[in-house]
Parts: sequence; structure tokens; C-alpha cells
Amino acid sequence: MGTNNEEHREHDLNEKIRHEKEEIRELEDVLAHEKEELRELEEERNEEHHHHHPQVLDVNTREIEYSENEISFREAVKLAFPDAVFDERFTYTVEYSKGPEQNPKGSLTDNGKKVWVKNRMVFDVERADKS
Amino acid sequence: MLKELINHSADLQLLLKDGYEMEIVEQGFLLIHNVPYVTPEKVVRRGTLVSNLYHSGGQTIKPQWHAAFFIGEYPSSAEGAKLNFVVSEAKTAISEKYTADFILSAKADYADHYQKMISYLKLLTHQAEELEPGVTAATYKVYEPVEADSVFEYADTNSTKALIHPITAKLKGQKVAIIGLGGTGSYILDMLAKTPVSEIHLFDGDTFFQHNAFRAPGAASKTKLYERLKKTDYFQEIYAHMHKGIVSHPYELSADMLAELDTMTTVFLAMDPSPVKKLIIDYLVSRKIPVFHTGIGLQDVDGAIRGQVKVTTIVHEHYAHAASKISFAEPDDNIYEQNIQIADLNALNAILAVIRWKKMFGFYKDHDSEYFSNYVIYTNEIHNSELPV
Repeated sequence: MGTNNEEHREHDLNEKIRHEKEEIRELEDVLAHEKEELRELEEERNEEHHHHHPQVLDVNTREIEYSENEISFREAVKLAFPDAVFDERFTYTVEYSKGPEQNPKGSLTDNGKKVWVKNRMVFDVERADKS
Repeated sequence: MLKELINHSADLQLLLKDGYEMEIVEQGFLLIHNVPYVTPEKVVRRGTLVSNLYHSGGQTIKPQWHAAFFIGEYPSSAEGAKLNFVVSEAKTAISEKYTADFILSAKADYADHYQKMISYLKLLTHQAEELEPGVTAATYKVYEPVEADSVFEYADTNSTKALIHPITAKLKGQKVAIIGLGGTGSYILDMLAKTPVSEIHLFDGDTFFQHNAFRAPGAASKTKLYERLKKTDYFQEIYAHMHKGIVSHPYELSADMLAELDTMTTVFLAMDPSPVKKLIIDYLVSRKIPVFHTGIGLQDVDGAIRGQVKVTTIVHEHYAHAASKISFAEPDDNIYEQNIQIADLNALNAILAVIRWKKMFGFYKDHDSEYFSNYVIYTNEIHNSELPV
């Protein structure tokens, strides 16, 4: 007779577990829905923020808006000196720091690679006449 | 110089009077030879006691360090046991001829070199006397001081005091030119005059005016400004107080005079941008003479200054970068550079160039061997580039 009682108790417990799992699934659906709503709201907020607070670079001590993710030697020179021309007459020296982890600090050269930028990255550009 | 030092120093006179076999080397070390001591095998031998020799203005001063050195076998007790004042077996370079084998330390406030040397001498000789009564360091051998052949008017006691004189010696024998004695060039001279290079040649055709005084080391007197000296003559006169090898060339180096640089081993180029500068660099590269070029680029931005302080190192193995890093335009033609010069940045530029030079000649450890370095004032960072491939 003991065996029948034990089987009955195990059946009851299985029922309760099934019920709990069902409840958790329902709550998880609600959580997933709320997370999705949060993500959408954050995205909307970020777009709004970016619209009013675009990415800026610190170029020769002045803040300059720059929306791209990368920057080249010539692009950095142009930010410092919008009238810059690239010919035999001029030489430019571009140093950067406070950059993202891929390229925190270094120098840009005319034939060198572009670097990744991040908000408030610092660029120091010197122009000299070499003719 | 040595004879004068010995004659004017009571402690050295006493050592001679007592008959100790004195020798002074590197103008900064006092040796007493033939000092009896005991070896670990309980044998009496003769060794050399060494101390830094502290002097200033032609006479000794109070010893600044209590420790001494010993040349010989391990100094031991009469029983062959270790002595507690022998504290280190580290070798110390004293001169080309002498290397100390042990460091001795009997801490006391020694009033002069006589007191110091006698104290150590007794510690060593007492042990020998137990085995050989009457043994003494006093040999009464006559000491004939050999004057060192030095480029300095007075000894570089800073190097011997710190025991870095073998490192300082790596800079000996060089013939260095400084082309351009403006702000940066004059600070380069200020640093080089304290090194044992054999000659320092100054090239500049300009007169030392009042505005130059505001970006030169030291403080020019009003009466000196009235003399309207050429810059190279003004600086030669001052730095000759210390260094014997300073040569004034009070003229601009023109294209047909470059052979004057043929015997140089290093050239510091600190002149204003000019087409001649390019010719000088090309000439020196072809002659395999290293060039250390200094340059400052400053800009007034909204009432405060930003800028870069650059050192371009040019050697025949690495010179192509000179064309893109250095400005050759006459300042008057240069529409963008305001040619702002400031003493602290001139000094920094000079010092960075001198450090780079010292690295090339093995004085300082060097990790990057960069051929271009750039100090950015705004971020207070130095950027090295043009590394060797």
C-alpha cells in the first residue's frame, strides 16, 4: 500500500512543478515585452540626444562637430585649418590622444591609416610653410 | 689642478705627511695603496683603500658619504673570519685602471678625508698587525700627481660623486656643432657645456639683443647688452667658465661653407627655417653625421597658446622623414607661423634633443629609438614616431 501512496505524492508534485513552469513562462513573456519597450524608448532617446548633442572632437583646443566613426590625416588637418591645401608648400603634423581603445594615442600621417574616433577625442595639428 | 687641490687641502696634506701612498684618480677618487690587510687564508697582503674625494673650489670639503671601497682579496680578521664592515662584494668602476672589489661601511660622521681614511685604514691594518706586528701602510713613497687631461675648467665631481663617471665618459671626444644660438640653441649649449665632449662649435651671425635675453639661460646684465656682442661670442665667453672646448663662429653657415662641419661627430640644428637648412641636412646625411633638429610650432588660440615641441633625429639610415617634418621657408615668407618663442619651451626642446643624443651614444637606456618626437603642450604628452623598421 505504501508504494501507491508514494506514487500519488509524486504525481501531485509533478503537477505543481508544471504549474510553476507555466507561471514563469507567462512572466517571462511579459518581461520580454517590457524589455523590448525599454529598448525602443532608449533608442528613441539616443536619437533625440544625438540630434541635440552630436559627437565633438577637440581640435587645436576647439570643439568641432564630427559625425563619422573614423578620421584620416587630411580630414583632421581640414578640421583644424579649413583652408588647408595639400601640396609641396605645406607640412602638417597631426597628433591625437584620448581616443578609443583601438587607438588611444598616436600620430596621423598622409599615407597612414584612418583611426577610430570617439566623443571628445583630442587632435593637435600644426601647419608649417616649407617652401 | 690636482697639485693646487693637494696644496690647499689640510686633510690631504696630513695623509702625505704621515707617509701614506696617496693617489687621486678621475679627479674624484682618493686612493691609498699598500694598505696591509689579512686574506681569508690568514695571510697578510697589501691592498688599496678607495674613497670618493669631495672637493669644491680648489680644496676638499667634508666627505658626503661614509662608505669606502677596497681593492684586493676579501679583507678578513686575523683568524680568517669575515669582518662586519665589509658590506658588499659589488664591483665598482673607479677608473680605467682600477675597479674596486668590495664596499666598506663603518658609519660615522667623518669631518674630513684624513679622519675617514685613517679610520678605515686602522680597521684593515689592526688585523694584519696581529699577525705581523709593526706592519704599516706608511711607505713614504713620494706621490707625483698626474694632471688629468680634462675639457673642464674644474672637475666633474657630480659624475664621480654618483659613480656614473664611466657612463659620462661615453660622451668624451665628440666634436659637436650647434647651428643657431637662439632660444633653443643656447639651452642646448647650457646642457652640452656640462658634458665631456671635446669641442662645442657655435654657429650664428646674429647679435645678442635684449629680446634674446628673455629666451636664453642665465640672466644677462644691462651692461653686457650694451656691448652688442655676437651671440656666439656672448655665449662662448660665459660657457668658457666651465668648458675649455667652446669655439665661436660668429657668422651664418652658407652653402659654400659646409665643409666646416666635416670633422663634427654630432650636429644640433636649432636655426630658423631657411633654404640653407635643407642643404645642411643633405650634406650631413651624405657625411653620415647625425643631426638633431629642434623646432617649436606655437599658435595663439583665443588668447592662450597651444603648440608642439619637436625633435627630429636624422641619420643616414633614417632621413626621408626630414622633408615632411621640417619647415625650410624663411620666417618672413611664412604666412602662418607667428614665430612665437618662449624660454621654457626652448629649454624643453633643447633638453629633449640632448636626451635623444645621449641615448644614441649609450648614456641613457633607449626603448623606441624614435627619429621624431613631439611634445603636445595641450595634453602634456610626448608622441614618438618614425621608429626604426
